[in-house]
Amino acid sequence: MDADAETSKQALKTYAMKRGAAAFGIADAELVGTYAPEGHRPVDLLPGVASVISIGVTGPTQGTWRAPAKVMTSVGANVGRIYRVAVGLSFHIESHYGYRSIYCPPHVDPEFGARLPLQSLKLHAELAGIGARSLAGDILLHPDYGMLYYGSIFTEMPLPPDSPMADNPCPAPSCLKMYQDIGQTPCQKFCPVQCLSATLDDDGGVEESTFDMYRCAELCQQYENMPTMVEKAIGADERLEREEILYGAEAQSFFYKATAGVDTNAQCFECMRVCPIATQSPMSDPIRRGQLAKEEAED
Amino acid sequence: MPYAVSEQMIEAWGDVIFDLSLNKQIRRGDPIRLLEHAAWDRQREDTGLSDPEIANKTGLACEQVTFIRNIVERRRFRLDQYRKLFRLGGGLRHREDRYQDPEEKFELSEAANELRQCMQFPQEEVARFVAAGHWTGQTLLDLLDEDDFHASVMQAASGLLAGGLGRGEVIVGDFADEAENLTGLFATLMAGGVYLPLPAGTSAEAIAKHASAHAVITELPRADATTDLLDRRPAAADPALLLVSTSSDATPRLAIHTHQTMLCALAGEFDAVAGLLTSDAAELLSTTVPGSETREDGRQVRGPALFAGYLNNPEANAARRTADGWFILD
Repeated sequence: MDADAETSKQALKTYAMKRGAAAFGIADAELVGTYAPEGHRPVDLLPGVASVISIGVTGPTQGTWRAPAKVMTSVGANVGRIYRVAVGLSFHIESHYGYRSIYCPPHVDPEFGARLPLQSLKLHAELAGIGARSLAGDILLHPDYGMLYYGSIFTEMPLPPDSPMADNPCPAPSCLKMYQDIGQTPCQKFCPVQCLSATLDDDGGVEESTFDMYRCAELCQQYENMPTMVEKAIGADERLEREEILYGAEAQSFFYKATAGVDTNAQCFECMRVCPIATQSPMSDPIRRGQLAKEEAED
Repeated sequence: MPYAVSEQMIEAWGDVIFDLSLNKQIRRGDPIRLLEHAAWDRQREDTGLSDPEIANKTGLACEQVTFIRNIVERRRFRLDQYRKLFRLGGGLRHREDRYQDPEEKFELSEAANELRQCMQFPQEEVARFVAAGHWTGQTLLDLLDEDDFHASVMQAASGLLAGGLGRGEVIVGDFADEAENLTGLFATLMAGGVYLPLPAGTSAEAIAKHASAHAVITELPRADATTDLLDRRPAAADPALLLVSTSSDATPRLAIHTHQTMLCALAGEFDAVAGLLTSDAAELLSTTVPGSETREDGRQVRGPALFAGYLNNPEANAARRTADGWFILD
């Protein structure tokens, strides 16, 4: 990789940061493909892909961590900023550098349903060195920014890759202490559906970490809400019961969201709400970030 | 058979596919971050396979794997878990032992269902009582102070719960002692039940049978106070009391009262409760409360303290109540 490539990488990073990214890293597309299953490798979306650019935008505001779960998705997510940075980068690379690029959609694979993502943005970010797997269902955490929202760009442009993080911030010292005292970390203890468990060594290394994704999905994905509704309504014995299923508060809320396309899904976040890395890392707190920016401006 | 998958195939292959899929993920160490390919390869199956990978391993077609997996997920997943989210955050943490699904909270026995269906208030009257403030959100339990009596009621209510009293079910209280009768009433209400004070000299058997009572109690049950009572707190419009109008007929006439009708008659006076339990006026607890009206030269009455209907006695309901909700005096 020549000096120009390094210069281009820095220029792309500057572009991403200006647009609102907090973290920026690059993974080698071929390396990603050695970990991702066939059909879910970068090359499966963009033949000829050379680099995977992973960007992270900051997580919720401090106020969000105190909000009820029923509004967490609305007030906590920062996906709009990801879209702005990632889509912007893909166009920017094509127009300024002349390499084909795409924004990697963060969706499930329509061929397989709700369990399989098209691509693992987690894998991209981990290999690009801007997140490490936590005990909370492998949600990535960043030592400075805590919980980030991630986005990926695939490009045919060869760029110098970054390395994965040297250290994993999870478990935090206080979490390890809690594990040693009661056998559970905060994320495991407070999960409403108890989908997390692990055995750790004395230094916090993961001997075995288990994530019952189906339990998490039962809670977080409002699994098959509409088909369930219809199935229940068909099987209802009496009119009142059928009316409650189809016209009750939950049904109204669901159909409103489905037709209006608004993001008012309730969301759990309990594992992150009690995570000291997600909520207390130096740059995870927008209030603190604002103060730092103010101090830097005054200096 | 979609994708040539039979029910038997779902039964035979379902667990294998579910366990191999991303539904269960086990990680040992931190192999990707440390670029340990060999360690990653060794645990690939435990971290969860994609459907094509499962198909390759099991010998099924990929479409069959996807179909079986999705069907098994649907059948295995517990439904309505997302309702837990409605009570999370904002200072609240989930406690599985304290969580109750809203639908389960209102599950009623057949007897309790029948009692509810015998309650019939005319819509015009309901609107009038609510607008005038005769009926509010207060229940009889709001009359209690945090004193020794309250503690005694909690113990008895916990005893009723321990005895299996279901929401909306009837407890017949056979007490000569006024204090015990009062405790029986409030304990039953606190446990989410409906109280029937047995008039002196009345046989409990026929009354209890007609009311499909959960139990006839002659002694107050006792148990350590339980937080389960919090889930049984009644609403003001819930049935609270069954008063015996007559037990001499072939079908007893048991007048149903809600917290609201009773509170109207009491005018907020706790001391008046005992009188209600032995009142001869089973159907109309008071003609003097605001909002009461008469017509037909005083032979028909209605008002916010009027009963909701007779339990399981359509003949008496038809004979003593007009279509527009007036009570016909004897």
